[in-house]
Amino acid sequence: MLIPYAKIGFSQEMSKGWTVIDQAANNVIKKVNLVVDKVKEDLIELKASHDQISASEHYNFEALGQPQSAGCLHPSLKVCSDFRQIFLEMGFTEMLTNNFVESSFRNFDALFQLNNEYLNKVKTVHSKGGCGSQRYGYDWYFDEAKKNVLRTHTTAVSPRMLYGLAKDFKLTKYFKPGMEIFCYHQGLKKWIEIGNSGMFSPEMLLPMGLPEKINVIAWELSLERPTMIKYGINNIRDLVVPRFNLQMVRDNPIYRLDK
Amino acid sequence: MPTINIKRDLLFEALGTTYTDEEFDNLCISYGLELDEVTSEKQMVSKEQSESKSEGASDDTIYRIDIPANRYDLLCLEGLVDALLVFQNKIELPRYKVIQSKKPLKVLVKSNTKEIRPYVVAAVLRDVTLNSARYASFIDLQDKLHQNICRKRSLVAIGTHDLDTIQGPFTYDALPPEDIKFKALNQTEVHSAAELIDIYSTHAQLKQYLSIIKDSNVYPVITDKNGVVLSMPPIINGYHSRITLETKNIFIECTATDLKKANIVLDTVLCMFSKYCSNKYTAERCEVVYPDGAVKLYPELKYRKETVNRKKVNSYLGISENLDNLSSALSSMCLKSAVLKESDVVVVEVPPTRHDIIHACDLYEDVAIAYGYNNIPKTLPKTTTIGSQLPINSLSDKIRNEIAYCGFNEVLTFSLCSRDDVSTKIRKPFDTQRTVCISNPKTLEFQVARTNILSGLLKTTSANKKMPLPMKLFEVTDVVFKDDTSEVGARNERHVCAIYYGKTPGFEIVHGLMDRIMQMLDVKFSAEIGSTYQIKAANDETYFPGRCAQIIYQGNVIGLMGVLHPEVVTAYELTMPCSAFEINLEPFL
Repeated sequence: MLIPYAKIGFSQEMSKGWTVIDQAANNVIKKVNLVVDKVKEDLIELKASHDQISASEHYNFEALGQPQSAGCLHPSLKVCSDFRQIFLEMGFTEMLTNNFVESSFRNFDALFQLNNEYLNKVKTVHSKGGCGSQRYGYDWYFDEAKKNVLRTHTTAVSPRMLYGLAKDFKLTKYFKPGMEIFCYHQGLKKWIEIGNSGMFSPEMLLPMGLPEKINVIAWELSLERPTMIKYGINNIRDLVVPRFNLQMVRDNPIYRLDK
Repeated sequence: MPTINIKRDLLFEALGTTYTDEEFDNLCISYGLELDEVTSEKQMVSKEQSESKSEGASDDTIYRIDIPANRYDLLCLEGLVDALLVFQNKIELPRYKVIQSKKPLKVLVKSNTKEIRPYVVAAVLRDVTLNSARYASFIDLQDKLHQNICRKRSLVAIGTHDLDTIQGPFTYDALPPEDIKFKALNQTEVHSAAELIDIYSTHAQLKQYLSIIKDSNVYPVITDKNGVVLSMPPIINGYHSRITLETKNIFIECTATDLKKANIVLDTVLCMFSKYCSNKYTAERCEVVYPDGAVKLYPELKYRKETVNRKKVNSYLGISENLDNLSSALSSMCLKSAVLKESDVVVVEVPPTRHDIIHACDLYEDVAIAYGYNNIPKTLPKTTTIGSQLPINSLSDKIRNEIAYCGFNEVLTFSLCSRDDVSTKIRKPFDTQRTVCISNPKTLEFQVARTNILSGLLKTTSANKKMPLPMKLFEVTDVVFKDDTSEVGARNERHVCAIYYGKTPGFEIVHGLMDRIMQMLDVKFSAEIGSTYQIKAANDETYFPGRCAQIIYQGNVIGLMGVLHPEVVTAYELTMPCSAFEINLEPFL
């Protein structure tokens, strides 16, 4: 049987009982006078009442998103990376500093290779004077110089490096002149020392066989103080165990010297 | 760098000017000093001890000033004031003079002293006017000298006496402790030397000096003509010859194991306090007679001439000053200078206050200070160099980033730790063969150089128990091992260590991190030998049995990973399971 008006939605109309088939007339007859579109009404109503939806049903843009399970680097080492970068940009070559144990000789007497000629030169400079210097005037003992110490400063490494250079040339931590480096601390409202620098004294350079006209300048910067200044950390112990504050490390922004 | 405490009002009175704290700080900085702190006796006591103890302490403002270690002449108000006034061109440089009396006081040295403290130098300050502030400064200066150049009295010890209570000639001897008996300063009775050593063994200040003579057969002692004990250096002076505010004539002796330093100390004390003599800036000479009859005259108060070449100093400092300016710059630093006619040099007279000047570059430094460091023009270097970083540091940085990308937090731990951290706490015997020990550790936490990073990470975890779990921490740094092949007998080794601490052991997580590092290093997990890595079950005391493996790279074991033994976890006061790995990074270079 061919049914007229059998268009889209016909089966729905039939099942809801809105129409009926007149078998005799082979026709479809309306059974109800009015069909109400509830969905359309609901949508209109929703649109109209949109502005009245309570605030709690909005996304709360005042709140933060979900914290990320992010990894992070330590603030001091972030500062360190930047410092290294600056020196590299200026054309400095990194020195090998991986010797926490250093001989007292190098650490304090600012010396290098334990060869006798060099050793004697140093002994002379310290005890009798020389290389244009009055004597420090103390007796200098080899046994004392031979003792190992934990390195108190990386400047001890420099003579080691210089010695390497000196060989190529065919050549106490004493800076003369010395220059301290200060930085203004916003929190403390004062200048605080963040590093030391200066020119290596000839007493240290000449025994190595470096020519007289060679000057050597050096800097030694602390990492912790700039880190504290930058990140507003009050206590240096927050950076290391046992007071180490992991939350602070996690929350720390990237280090930008210029900001 | 010594710090001196100076009463602000006295300082300003002596300087003849009043400054604000900021102005005075600027003056200090321009002279190479640092105004470390503005405080008061009350504040210092309450900070160092307790608030209750600070009651009654003075509220007068005190300046704490950092002095360069070799500027002994600035260690008291007197020297500091003279130096600053000369610097500001307000006074003429004092000229120190030795007075030779007709009958100089003698100090007779006995040969026994060679065994313990061979040298003595001495001098007299005549007709001095003291008051309580001057007296306090006099004592303070001696203390500062004792702590610094005298190396806690081991090199030099100063004794000062009221000359009118004693009679020369004096004898400097070294006697067996039982033969020395006297009433010491601040004691009410006569004691033998042995008793004094016993009494002072609990004395807050004096106990540190006892070891200098304690075990010697003979103790140094200075007596006068009548056997009155002046002092038992380097420990204590006698009560009899003590200085009071009424003292007019002061006898100063310095006993020493280092004659040069003894002279510096004597010169310094004389230069600072001779300004209170009626005949200003003078000191009277003494004779020291040695057992062989040799006679030495002290004090030296020597002036010495040095020259500074204009071209050299200018090129050294990067400035371009003429001779006259250089000369006045040096003069303002207590180094009286004059231009040598028809030459390019300045002649400098180094006074006995400036024993720190031992080389021409010390003079250059003073030129730089007088010129003003901040006035030196900034220039770009004329040479071009190519920078480079060390391969090990470059590699470490890349690995650190990769581990952080994996969600681990970097920490920074001390390179020193306790013996237990490298032995009992990680269930291992103490490895004397490989561990570098500190001979004089200050605290129990710093007895040895670490041989692993793991214990540092566990300590960090323990300190952050309030953080949400799981905790994922790592560090890439150096550990230290004894190594006979190295020149100093020890070497560093760069390690990578990571731990996972949470409700489950999380072995798969540290394992995965280790795999990730290998992937980033382009090392394949394969049984084939070559640039590959393998994991092999192993037993290690630190790890839980059956939950531990060796990491093998190019056929060599480079580290361990596994679930930590519960006893290791509890040793660090942790309560959850924990996994870790630690590998040597250096084979990957």
